[in-house]
Amino acid sequence: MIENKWQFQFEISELPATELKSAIDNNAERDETLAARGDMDDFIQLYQHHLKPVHNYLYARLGNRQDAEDVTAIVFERAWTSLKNYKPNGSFRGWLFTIVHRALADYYRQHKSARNQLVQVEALAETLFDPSAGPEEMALLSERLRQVREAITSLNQEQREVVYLRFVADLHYKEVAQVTGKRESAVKMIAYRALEEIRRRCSDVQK
Amino acid sequence: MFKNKITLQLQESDLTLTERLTEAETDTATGQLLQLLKLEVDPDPDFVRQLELRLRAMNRPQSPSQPLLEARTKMQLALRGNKLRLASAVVVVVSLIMVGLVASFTFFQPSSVRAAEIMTRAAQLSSGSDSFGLQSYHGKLSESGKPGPNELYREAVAEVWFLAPNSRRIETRTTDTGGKSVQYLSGTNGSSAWSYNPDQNLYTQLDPGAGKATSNFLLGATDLTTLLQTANRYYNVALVGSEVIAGRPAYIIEMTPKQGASGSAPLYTSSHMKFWIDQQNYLELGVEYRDAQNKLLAKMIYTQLELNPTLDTTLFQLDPPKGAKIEDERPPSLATLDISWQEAANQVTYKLFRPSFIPAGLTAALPQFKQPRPGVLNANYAGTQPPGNIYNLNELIIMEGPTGTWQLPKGKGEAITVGRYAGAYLKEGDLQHIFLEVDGTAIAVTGDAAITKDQLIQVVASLQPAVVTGSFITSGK
Repeated sequence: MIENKWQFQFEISELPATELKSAIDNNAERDETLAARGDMDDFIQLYQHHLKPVHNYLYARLGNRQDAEDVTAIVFERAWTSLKNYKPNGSFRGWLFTIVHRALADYYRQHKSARNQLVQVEALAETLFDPSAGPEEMALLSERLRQVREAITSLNQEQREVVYLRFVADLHYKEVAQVTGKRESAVKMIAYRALEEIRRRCSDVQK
Repeated sequence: MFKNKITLQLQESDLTLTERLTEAETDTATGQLLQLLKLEVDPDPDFVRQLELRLRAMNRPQSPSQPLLEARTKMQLALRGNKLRLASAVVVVVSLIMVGLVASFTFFQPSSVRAAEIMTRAAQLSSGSDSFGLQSYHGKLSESGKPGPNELYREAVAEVWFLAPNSRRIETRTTDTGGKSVQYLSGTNGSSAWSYNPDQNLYTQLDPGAGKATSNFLLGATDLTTLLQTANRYYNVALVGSEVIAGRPAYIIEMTPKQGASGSAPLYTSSHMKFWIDQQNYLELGVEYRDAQNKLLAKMIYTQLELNPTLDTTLFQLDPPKGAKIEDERPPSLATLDISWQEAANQVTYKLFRPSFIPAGLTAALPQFKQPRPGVLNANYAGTQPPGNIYNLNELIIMEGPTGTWQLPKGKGEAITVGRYAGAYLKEGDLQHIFLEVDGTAIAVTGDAAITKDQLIQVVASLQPAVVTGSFITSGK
């Protein structure tokens, strides 16, 4: 019933570049058509397409399922009530993540909760726990997680935001720009510096 | 995987930003780490279904009573240890209730002594300290408004029955966008409370203590005295006239924010409020909320009213209809809590500890093992929301797991000793935590701003093995 978007994206990433672009465009076109029609059944399709990246992004940012579900619900409720204002001059996904961005900001402002930040890394570790993995794999994973933890915490807020949007929500840079209100080139520069920082820290660890 | 290796051999100066970025993304070590960021955490299927239902329900205009009902339900969820799901409609309506409560007790204004007296009597009726001869009523209520900029305009009719001291039934009817009539029911007799959604055939058992029914319920009912000082700072109250409402002579009271108060006052202080109060028995006959631009947010007003009718007590009960899905939002009993702790202790390989002291006013939820950490126990204790603050719950959370489950962030925290155990105390923002290990169990106790450090230490000091039989004190006084 619910399309597995991750699997879909994996499939299209194996396509040649021209077909890949076409698949992405078709995806965006489908979203725009559904959003433009704007009835509830169409919106539910959009909800089903985008629930997982929204949820996972919020999970990564908030660090626990309960809060991620709370904010996810707010996002889709706001999206529905604001759908009439959607104009297809950017991607629907970018528009949706703009709502995510604001909902998250509201959440932080309202809760000012350090608890979430505190448990975030722990939740991340638990999330990635694979019960089928053996002790050696778990140790390796744990080490890599430690690297992720350190690398992410070393980034500034702006970098962290861009990294999450690009690599957890899987937005294109153009969409990240749409969400953050920055120019695409600026977003790319932020991402590049963030990745360089991650790479530098990882190589430091390996030394 | 998208990058041609030839590009990688180019000098950095020759690379465009995009190319350098692609290179950085596809760098093996970085790429692996970035993959770890992609948390393949499937949303809970129940959550997916529930949210879809909620979204579909938004397709039709809801009665203002339904958000009130939802708000109450969410409060009870909070009591069970869950956070409020801040659906925007709920936020708006809860806010309005809070503002209403705050405003209704702004009665120490020298310029509005008469209005203050009227509101005081309305409050006495609400609290039950004086009935003013009103033992029961039955009326029809017209509801309308657009609670928020992103909300739909709503219209509904509610039928209300009240029998002193605290039995009430509300049946709300409205229409969906297709013109279909929909209905919501709720009721309480003081010892049990319920709601029923015939559309979904969903019956919910509610906590009768969470939303105690009073005669004056349009403004809500809670511990009003604690709101007094806040209200006094932010609102002016004035008697502006009289009007006949549902055949009853009514005072018209207006509440307006004091000059300069908006911006610093809690929650929607720009709203202008109007109340119609029965001149003989001080029953709220109507309420109206407007935003700073004078746009109507919500209005509830009686169109028919019968005072002191004979009402059968069975009216306030409803057994679950046949085939109804039943949800239980009531806080667990002490016996249920005991059993749940015992069961939880049997499910883990580490020792589980249960507090015998919990700050007064907090209610225990059932201990749970939650995703994504199924091996970690969560015990939640929640109280009522502080006045004027719909976000910060009075909340305490105890989490337990095997040794090593938590590590105190480096360089943070203050070393403390609780009994014979060494731990660390950490304050971050509104929250405070105590981390310690007891006999192979890692314990993290977190409290919000409503809980003091001493109380948190007391909770930790009171931890006892959960498998010990006997009665535990779950509400420390």
